[in-house]
Amino acid sequence: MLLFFLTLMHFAVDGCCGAALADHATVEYDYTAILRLFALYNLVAFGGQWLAGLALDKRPRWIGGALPCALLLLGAGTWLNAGILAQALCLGAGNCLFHAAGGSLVLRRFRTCAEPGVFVSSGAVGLALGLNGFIPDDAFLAVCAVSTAALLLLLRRPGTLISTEKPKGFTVTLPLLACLLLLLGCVTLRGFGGGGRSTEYALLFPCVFMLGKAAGGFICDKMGWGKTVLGVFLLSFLALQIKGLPGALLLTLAFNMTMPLTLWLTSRCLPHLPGLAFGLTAGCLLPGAFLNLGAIPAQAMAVAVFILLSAAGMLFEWNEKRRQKQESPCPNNAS
Amino acid sequence: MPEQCFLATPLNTGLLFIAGLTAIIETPLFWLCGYRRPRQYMWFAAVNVISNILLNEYLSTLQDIETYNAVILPAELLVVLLEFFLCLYTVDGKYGRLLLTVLFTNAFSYLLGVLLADVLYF
Repeated sequence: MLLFFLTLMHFAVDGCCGAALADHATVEYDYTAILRLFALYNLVAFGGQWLAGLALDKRPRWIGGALPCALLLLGAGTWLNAGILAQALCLGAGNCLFHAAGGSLVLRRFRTCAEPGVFVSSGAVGLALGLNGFIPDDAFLAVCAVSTAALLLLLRRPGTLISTEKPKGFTVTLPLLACLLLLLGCVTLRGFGGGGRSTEYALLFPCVFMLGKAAGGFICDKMGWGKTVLGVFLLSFLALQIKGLPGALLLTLAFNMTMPLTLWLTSRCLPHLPGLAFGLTAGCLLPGAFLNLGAIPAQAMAVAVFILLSAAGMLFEWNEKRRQKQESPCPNNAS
Repeated sequence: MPEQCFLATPLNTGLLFIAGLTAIIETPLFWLCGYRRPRQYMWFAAVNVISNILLNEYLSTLQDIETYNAVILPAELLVVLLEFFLCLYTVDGKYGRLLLTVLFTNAFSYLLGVLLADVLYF
């Protein structure tokens, strides 16, 4: 139930922000002002998550308060008549708070890869529905309010908010740090891949985003990290040999399947700081949103993503083996 | 949208020929370096074809020779890393030896390719 309402709220929060931003953009005639509106929103929504996540890691009880705060901020961003930039700021802050709280909650509650994948999957569809004006922001807000109420009730149940203490013997070693950097590098690289999509397929690609993110987590739980990364690479290769829409869809599916993988392994690198782990992966999408480095060729992207994920997985596994060896020394050496 | 856009086009035979040629050069070298299990060298041959097709697909999108010269070395290094990580699925341990082997086979086929190009074109 917790995962259902968090996923539903993710859909509604992104949808509400998309619909409200689209509403503001349609009444604004100055193109620079529209760009500034989206830039400010992105900066606050994505750039602030690591800070909010870290705060929630330090004070886990604030997670319960962060959800209604996010709802209030989203309401202010939608209804308040305080100028376009103030509204973008409110929407960004509400989005940031929800993602940090929801992400932290999912990573605390579940240890497998499927659940974070399901949680992050619904946002793209909500955003597309909102940005294209298929559903009004008020309807999204109503869903947000219902989800918040349900989540607050669920959070009252004992055992929902699992505390994350540093595991015994856990230290941030050099291989672990290198693994984290590789994962964040992979997310940053992927951020440059989301180019403009044809308006003909306003909902088709977001649905593929959703399917990819959800499927990636389940497949990783079933087949393991190595086989999933290999499968994603082979799928990307196959997609690159197919021209037209099916190829583009398959490639989008493959790239999105890596999203829960990076999120899950990042949270395993920082097991005591789930909010920060979630926020860092979101923050790494910012360079792609702001820097215009041109489109990275899909072939290079597929190869680089595979190399980064393989290297990260190898370093993490090596570090885990070393840690386990240190924790349980060989019985022959004990005497 | 016209119907043919939805249809897959067959793989470029030129790229497939070059990839096959590279695999024919590199796989025996890989075998000579001590990787003699069929599972290992057959996988290496498949990896070679995949990496070569991806590399040549990318290189064929480049517009001018200056860009080609600037990207060829980083692209080859990416190929070496790709083949190394893909070979890890069939080779256990001794990462350094595997990396050196992949580096050697790729450098050999690259140099042979340059030499052959000189002989064939000039």
